[in-house]
Amino acid sequence: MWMLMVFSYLTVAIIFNAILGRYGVVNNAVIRFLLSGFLIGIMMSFHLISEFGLASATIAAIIWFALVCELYIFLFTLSLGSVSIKILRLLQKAPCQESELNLVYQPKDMVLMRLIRLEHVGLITRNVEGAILLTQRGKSLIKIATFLKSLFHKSIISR
Amino acid sequence: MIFCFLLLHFLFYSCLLKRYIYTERGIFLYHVFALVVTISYCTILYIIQEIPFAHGVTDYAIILGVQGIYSLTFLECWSITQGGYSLGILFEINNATLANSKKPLDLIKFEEIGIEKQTSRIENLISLKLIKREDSTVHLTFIGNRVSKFSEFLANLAGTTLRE
Repeated sequence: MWMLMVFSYLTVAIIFNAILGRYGVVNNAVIRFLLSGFLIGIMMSFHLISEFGLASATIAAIIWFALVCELYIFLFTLSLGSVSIKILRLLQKAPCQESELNLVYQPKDMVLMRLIRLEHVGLITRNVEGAILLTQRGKSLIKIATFLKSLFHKSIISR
Repeated sequence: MIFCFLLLHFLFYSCLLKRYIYTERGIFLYHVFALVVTISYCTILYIIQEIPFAHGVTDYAIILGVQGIYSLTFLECWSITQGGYSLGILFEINNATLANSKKPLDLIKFEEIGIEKQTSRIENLISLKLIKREDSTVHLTFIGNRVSKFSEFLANLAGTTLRE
């Protein structure tokens, strides 16, 4: 029963997120889904408490809702940003020569695209001379990434 | 109990195993191993305590849910910090700033990483049977076509289109 509620509310969160996206409420897709997932999650929690009280079924449903939301974020960010997915999307239009495939995503263009995206999300900026600099947000991200690298990898490599 | 187990699992990796397990496959298997341990432990506990399955199923779900969140978060953090292209660029900008370098950003280094990534991606997609190479032409396989359409559906559902 509670599992059915988890997937029903997840569907509502996904639809709500899609509506917010269509109206351009928040530009960042992850933040937008976190917002809609949080709101729908609270509604689900109230529903569960009124149905089961503070029982283990309520806790299980909240944990599973968080899990499926995280999985959904993982999947759609993969669909939006992955180069492998972009290659698949390109081949969906028509088969092409491997050399053409390499031409479409010229490494220089890939770097420039990333720089544009990083500037768009406010992680880097350009000064009057045109030099690229990290914003305060970019510096904070570097600090977090350095900490995570020290936890997950054997050496901190500044790539 | 589950939180202690997951904390130990993380600390064991972070303090010791990260020197020996550094491939995607290795990390994945490390988490599969943890899942097998959790399921086995819970099952044995339920059998010993003679808890009926119907009563234990919600507890099982809580434990597996917590473990799922932990594993997914771990894998995402590991993967982002392992080889994120954007993160690499940010690190390079940070290093150039710290060195107070007047030189323009060395984009060639990233272009090389880009070539490396692109080549390995095509090979990976072939090994995953998502695309196939015939003569010098690259085609989508049936599964590749489905994955591509599903990703398009997800991107549209997320309220945005692919960043071309």
